[in-house]
Amino acid sequence: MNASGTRRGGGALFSRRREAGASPVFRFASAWAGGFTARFTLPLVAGLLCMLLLLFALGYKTASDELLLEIDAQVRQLQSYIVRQDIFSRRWIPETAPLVRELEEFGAGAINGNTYYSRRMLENVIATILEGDLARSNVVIYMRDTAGALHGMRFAPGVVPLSFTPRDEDIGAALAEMHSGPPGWRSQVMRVNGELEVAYRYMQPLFAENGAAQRARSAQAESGVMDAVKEFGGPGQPFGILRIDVATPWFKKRMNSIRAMTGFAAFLMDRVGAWTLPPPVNAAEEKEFARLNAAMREKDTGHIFLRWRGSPHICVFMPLLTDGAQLGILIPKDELFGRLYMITAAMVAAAGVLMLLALYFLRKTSTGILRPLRKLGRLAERLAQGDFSETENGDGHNSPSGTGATSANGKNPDDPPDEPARLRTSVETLRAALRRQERDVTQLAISKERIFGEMELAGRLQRSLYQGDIPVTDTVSVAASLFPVGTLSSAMFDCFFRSEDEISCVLASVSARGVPAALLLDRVVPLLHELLLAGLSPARALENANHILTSYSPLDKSAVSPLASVYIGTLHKRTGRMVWACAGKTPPCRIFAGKAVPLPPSGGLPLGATSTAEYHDYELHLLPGETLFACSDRLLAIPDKAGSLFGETMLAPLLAAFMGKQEELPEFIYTAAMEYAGITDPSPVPRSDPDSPPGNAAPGVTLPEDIALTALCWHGSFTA
Amino acid sequence: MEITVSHAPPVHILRLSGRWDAFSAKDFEARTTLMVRNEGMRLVALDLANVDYISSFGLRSLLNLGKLLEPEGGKVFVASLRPIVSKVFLGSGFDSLFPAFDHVDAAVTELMGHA
Repeated sequence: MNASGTRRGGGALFSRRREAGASPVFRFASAWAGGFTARFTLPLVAGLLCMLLLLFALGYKTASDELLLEIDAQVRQLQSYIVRQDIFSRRWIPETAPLVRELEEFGAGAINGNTYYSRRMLENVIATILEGDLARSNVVIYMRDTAGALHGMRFAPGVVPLSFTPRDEDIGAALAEMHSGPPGWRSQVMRVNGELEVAYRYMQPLFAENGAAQRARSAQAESGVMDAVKEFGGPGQPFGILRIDVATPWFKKRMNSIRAMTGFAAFLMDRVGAWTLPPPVNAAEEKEFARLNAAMREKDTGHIFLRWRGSPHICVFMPLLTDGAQLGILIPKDELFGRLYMITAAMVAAAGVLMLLALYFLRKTSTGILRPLRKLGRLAERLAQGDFSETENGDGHNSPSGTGATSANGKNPDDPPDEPARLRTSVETLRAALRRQERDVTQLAISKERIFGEMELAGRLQRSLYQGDIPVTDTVSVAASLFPVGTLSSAMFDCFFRSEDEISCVLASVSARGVPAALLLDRVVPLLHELLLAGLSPARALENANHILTSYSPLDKSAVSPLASVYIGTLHKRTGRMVWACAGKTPPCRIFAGKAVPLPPSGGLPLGATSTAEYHDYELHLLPGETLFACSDRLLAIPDKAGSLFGETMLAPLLAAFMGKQEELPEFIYTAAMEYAGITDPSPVPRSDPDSPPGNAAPGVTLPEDIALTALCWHGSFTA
Repeated sequence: MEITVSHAPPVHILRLSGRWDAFSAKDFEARTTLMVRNEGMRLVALDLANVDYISSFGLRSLLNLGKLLEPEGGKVFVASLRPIVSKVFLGSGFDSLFPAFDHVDAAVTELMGHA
């Protein structure tokens, strides 16, 4: 047989059947399982990788946006604090100015009731500014009274109001600062004790300037020279400057609370684009500043990424005060997104590791499970085709022929194999076992064929030996039947002319079945035949046969060979004299005058039991027309369904009541016994064990047995 | 057939029940052979009160036990035979090989005399 050709053909048939009859789910599963190849796996892994990267990008973008929103919200909150402070401080300015005007004369020391009242009010108002705000404020008042004297008052939180005489240069600087722009707030970012603060300064004249003063300031503007003392009014013309400094010492702390940033910078930009940022250090930074400036002038609120001081920053800006100034916060990008960068890098690294692990395990799964399973599938197909020949493993080694001692991947069998390898080993073992079974079955079939042939031959020999013509005379008729179950019978009869006037009937059965029974019968029955022909009486014939059997038969001296139960009867055809003897056998039954009477037990041991067994001849004279019926003891031992034996209690009435032809008696009795046992088909049943009952019978189930029956009838008369 | 074993040292009492036919003869042979070889069983009293029938296979297995014990000086007595079994014993002459008693106690007593 061409094994490979068979495999190809079988595989094609298998595939066609699978595709034709499989459900869509099965086809999908098959495609999935069968498609774990590089062609299928790589796009799958690439797709998964792309999806993973896309998810990462989306997550990064979302996290980045969230961070920007958070920064924006916090800066906006900062802005709201500053604005609130601005509004709070501004609220008191209108009340401060009238009170100071009322104190026009206080610098001269003429504190009357009104001025005293006004002074107290002024102090209260300013104390409210100082105590009620959330910032650190200083209020300074410069004033010239009508007498031309200069006065100064300073208010600071937690400090007693201080009156002082201002210096000329202080007043000049205050005037110059006040005149540098319209009255109102001037904001800046400054450092106080190294801490970054946003500060506001409000300067406002307390009295209307007279014409001389205005002219003097115009002349000063034209000449570029400030004469502060002259400008600060003259005799009879009171003049004053109110200056409020508001600082935000919490600015730095609050900025630091935003994601714990330390490297930020803050700046202010006015409505014309002038800002407090230090000048650019190089051309690149100048270009970045120009971009930032343009962005801040374009819109009030927003953020922009730029490089400052050589590192990437993000600038968040928004309006600060109602005068159009904008607050900008420069935050190092690394500080803001540092954790995000770190988390993202860690996740990308973890994803990479996971992807590598997935690829590794995918490969392991493919090489360790799927490939072996596919091999096993092909092996199973071959087994299903009946091809049990050895296969070559993927590693080029032949699989073991019997024990499956080597796993599919060639590992040492002592090592704990993985599941596919164990499965492969099991399947290989199964294959080897099937191969052995196939050989055994083949051998069994050959043996069975040979044994059946031999048994058939033995059966033919057995029948040819004993199934000779049954002797018939005018005074004696013999009816004998054998009902064998198998090819070889364990019961037999032999009826023959012992002499011219005597007919002998031998009925034997052995305590074995099949070949052992046939062998014993083939020895016993011819032996008795010869001994009887030699002139020995039935008892002497039994004795001699027993002696021969016990002397030569047993191979194992401690064991008992099969026993033979024998009945021998010799009838003189003219006188009706019957001499009989039994060896381990129930004696025959006499039938005459409508009665059936069993003969008494003879007591002889079965042949083969013991060498010292003794047998005795018994004699009787048959009456004319009397029949002597003998049968195998197994007939009497046939039970019905309730377990009651057929026995002589059933046999005797049947014999007595039989009215048919004498030659039909054996079959009549046998049929009755089968009906009694409920056996409807007494056909031969194959036997696996000669010593066991037929077929696969279980205890309690009645099956047919080999049974022989003889009926010897004498028709003579005493006168003859 | 069921076989129940009890002891009245040095006698082994085997109580059999059921049909002593080809089915049970092999079990009887195997079991008694083991008892002779492993347990040193020598004197055996077979209580056949519940044996319905004995076939030639049963007789053969009994004869086997007898032959197995013979070189060891052992003996097998049977007791409480039902009529049908008794008839087979008488007809086959086995009563001459294995003494039969009406009751197992009598068989045990007799066996103890041989101890």
